[in-house]
Amino acid sequence: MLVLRLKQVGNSLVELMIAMTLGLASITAMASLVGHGIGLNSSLLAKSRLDEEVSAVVAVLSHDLKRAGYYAHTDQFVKHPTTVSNPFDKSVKVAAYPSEAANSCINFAYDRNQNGVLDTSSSNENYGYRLKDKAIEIRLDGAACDESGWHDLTDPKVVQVMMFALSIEKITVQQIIQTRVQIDLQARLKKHPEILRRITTHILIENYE
Amino acid sequence: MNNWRGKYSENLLNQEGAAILLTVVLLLIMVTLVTLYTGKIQSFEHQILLNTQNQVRAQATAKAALNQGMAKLNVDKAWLGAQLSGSLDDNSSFTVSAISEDLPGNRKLVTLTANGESADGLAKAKIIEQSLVYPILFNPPPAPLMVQHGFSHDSEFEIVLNPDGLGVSAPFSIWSDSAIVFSGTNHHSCMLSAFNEGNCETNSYSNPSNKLADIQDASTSFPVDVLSYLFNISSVEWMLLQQQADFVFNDCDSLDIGSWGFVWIDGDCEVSGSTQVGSDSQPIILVVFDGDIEFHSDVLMYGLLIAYRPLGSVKNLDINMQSGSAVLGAIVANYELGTKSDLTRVVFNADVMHHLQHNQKLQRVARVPGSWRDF
Repeated sequence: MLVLRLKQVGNSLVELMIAMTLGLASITAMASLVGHGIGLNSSLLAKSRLDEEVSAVVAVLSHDLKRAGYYAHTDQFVKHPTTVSNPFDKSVKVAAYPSEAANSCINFAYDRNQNGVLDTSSSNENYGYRLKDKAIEIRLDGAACDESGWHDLTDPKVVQVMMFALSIEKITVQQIIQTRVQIDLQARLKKHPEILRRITTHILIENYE
Repeated sequence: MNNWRGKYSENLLNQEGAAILLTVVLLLIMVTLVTLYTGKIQSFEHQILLNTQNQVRAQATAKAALNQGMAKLNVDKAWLGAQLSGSLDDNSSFTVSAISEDLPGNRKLVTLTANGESADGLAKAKIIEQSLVYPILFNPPPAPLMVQHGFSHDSEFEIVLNPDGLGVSAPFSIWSDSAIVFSGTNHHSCMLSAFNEGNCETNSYSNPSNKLADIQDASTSFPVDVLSYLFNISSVEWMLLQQQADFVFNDCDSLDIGSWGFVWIDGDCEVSGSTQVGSDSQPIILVVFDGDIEFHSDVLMYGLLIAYRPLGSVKNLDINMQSGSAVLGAIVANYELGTKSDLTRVVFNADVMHHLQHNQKLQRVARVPGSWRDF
């Protein structure tokens, strides 16, 4: 009868159990670390997304708004003050969409194509921003605050704008009255409602509206 | 048999820890990939932040450049617009230049172009704005004496006429909305040559016996609002005019040959004897607001003297000049003169009138509303 006697190599059961326990613990620790890193990264990305969205809206709005009242033919206005007037003057107005909070829509105008005329048909030079259905919308074709035809600037499926409050202030600097607009914007992520971002800023209308 | 047994035990020895090694390697790869991904995202975020910051700095630099251009124009209103360049503390750089266009009324429309660039040169911004350089004196008085409500016949006046005040070779001495009665020898106008020879009274142009067209009294074209006529600022907004003054004093004690610019006096103005105020090349605009004016003997004032009584004031005001005193330029008053004075003497001086509009210290710079753009 053939008896195969092999030399017993390897670890004992106790050693194997200890090795497995240690290995499992270290793998769990590493997996947890990786998971935490991914989670942190995800949270960071979500916050960044909200930050960028809010900052981008304010940047676009402030760039646009400070041009309010620009008129390309001011030389004519200076030469003939009694016959020529600035059609873009005093164009900054605050209102609201009917179902939204008061002062959540702003309209203004400037001479973007520099032709000296307030264009109201093609390349309409009436601009504006408003809050509607938790999104900031940009004005198209001169639509009024209570009309449709505006275009979403933010995606309400990702970022929900909870507050968009505008107020016009008059300030006097060296005996010159200037207009500035205070913007108060608050938004949150739809998937993470606990992540909030709020910006309060002032925009000076450079053309002394 | 022994050979087979040896190979078997060798295989067993070679396979020790392979599973753990594989798992660990996979985990390390995962950790590395996650770290790289996070790093890439962070780098991307940082780049966005940097770009935003650069753009903000470039815009701020362009704005600073525009302000520098305005400051340059304020101190040198004859600036031809040659490009200025410089840098800010954060190493961002800027340039500013100007183009001028002359306008009627000794005004100048200046278009300033300011460029800003971030320190790393990645972001640039441009701002264009217009400014108006204008003389404070919008309409110089055509007559040496412009007086609202006339001149009392009880006191004296001596006027050296403006030879071209009413057109070429059409002299102009007094312009008033009320009738002015000439009496005795104390009311007369004369040519500059006669005045210089000391013969203004004897060689007069207009006098009580011969009142000529240089005296435009009871004029229907006389402006209702003299401040509006002179400065294009309504009399109800006189404070806006006062805000443009270089100096606001309560008396005229500090006035002398070195005086310059637009001087506003709140109250009485008494100038001591043998004083020269301003000069031929640097005349002043002197507004005496709600106060009496008294020039002691041998006072010479170069420029425009405006005697202004505000609406609602009940003061009895006047201008009085003692012997040898005169205003070389013009006098404008919005109340009746001569009610309690001895003499009012004014000598029209074409050089002075020219400098009242062209002297840089009597010009101002204002931004043109509606001209600012950054696109």
